[in-house]
Amino acid sequence: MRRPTKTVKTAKRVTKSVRLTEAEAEELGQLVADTAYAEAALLRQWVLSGMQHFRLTEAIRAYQDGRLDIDQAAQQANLPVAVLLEEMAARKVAVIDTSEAFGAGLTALREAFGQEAIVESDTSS
Amino acid sequence: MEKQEAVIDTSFWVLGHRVDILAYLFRFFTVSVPDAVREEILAPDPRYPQRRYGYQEMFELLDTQGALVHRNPTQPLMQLHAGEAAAVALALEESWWLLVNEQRALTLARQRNLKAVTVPEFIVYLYQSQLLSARSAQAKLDGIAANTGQRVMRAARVEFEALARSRGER
Repeated sequence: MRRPTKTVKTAKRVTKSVRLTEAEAEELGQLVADTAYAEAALLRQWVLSGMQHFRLTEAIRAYQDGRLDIDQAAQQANLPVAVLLEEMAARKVAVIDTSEAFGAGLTALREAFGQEAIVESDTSS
Repeated sequence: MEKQEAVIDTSFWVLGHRVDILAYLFRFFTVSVPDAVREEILAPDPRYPQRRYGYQEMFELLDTQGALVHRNPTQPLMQLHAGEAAAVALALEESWWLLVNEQRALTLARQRNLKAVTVPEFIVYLYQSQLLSARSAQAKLDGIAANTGQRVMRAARVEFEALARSRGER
């Protein structure tokens, strides 16, 4: 029985050129020489990775400046909200920063559940 | 002690997981999760499709065990994004607690007189109720310091230190 032929469609690619100094080009050649990758493939990978990194950095900056909310920042970074929050945690970005963020919730907890010990203390943690 | 109803937002889940306080929530609250929050938490990272974050594994584990209640508001709030909009709206509709750790949603929740709790507040309360040792609470506060504004951290540390002194642990 003949297998159906699979046709893999690749996105059309365009060429972008970049000018490097002789020293930079030489360094690039040395980096590529020790790998199994083609220079063009490696350059493409670095550009895509750099673009993602740049998008993320700019989105976080815009969030910190108050220009974007968390959802808009996630969209700009091309990431889900939770992943962006995880990235922000790793990059030490504050997500609550006004004085109102501490106090009222603690008071409400005390009023609802009491001020004293609830169970035996857990000193193992 | 009677458990109360609470809605959790993605922001509390992610940071709460980093400092290992999520499990304690279930002593105090029946935790509800709107679909929009669930989707935000479980959404894969498009950069690394195979990767599973710890907060996602924890969510699925608790969800599978039936620890999380699935509830949605009748009408999400327009001012916020999907997860926050659903969480705040559900808390408002049901007069439930809101577990949140993101400034915009927190501000809105407090303007609407919701009982909203942030991660630093919950850590200090866990210490006050003696569920955490001083050392553990201190480590958890240190763990969120980088993601929490200085004013908030200062207030949290003052409260924690006062409690610790009153117990002779400082």
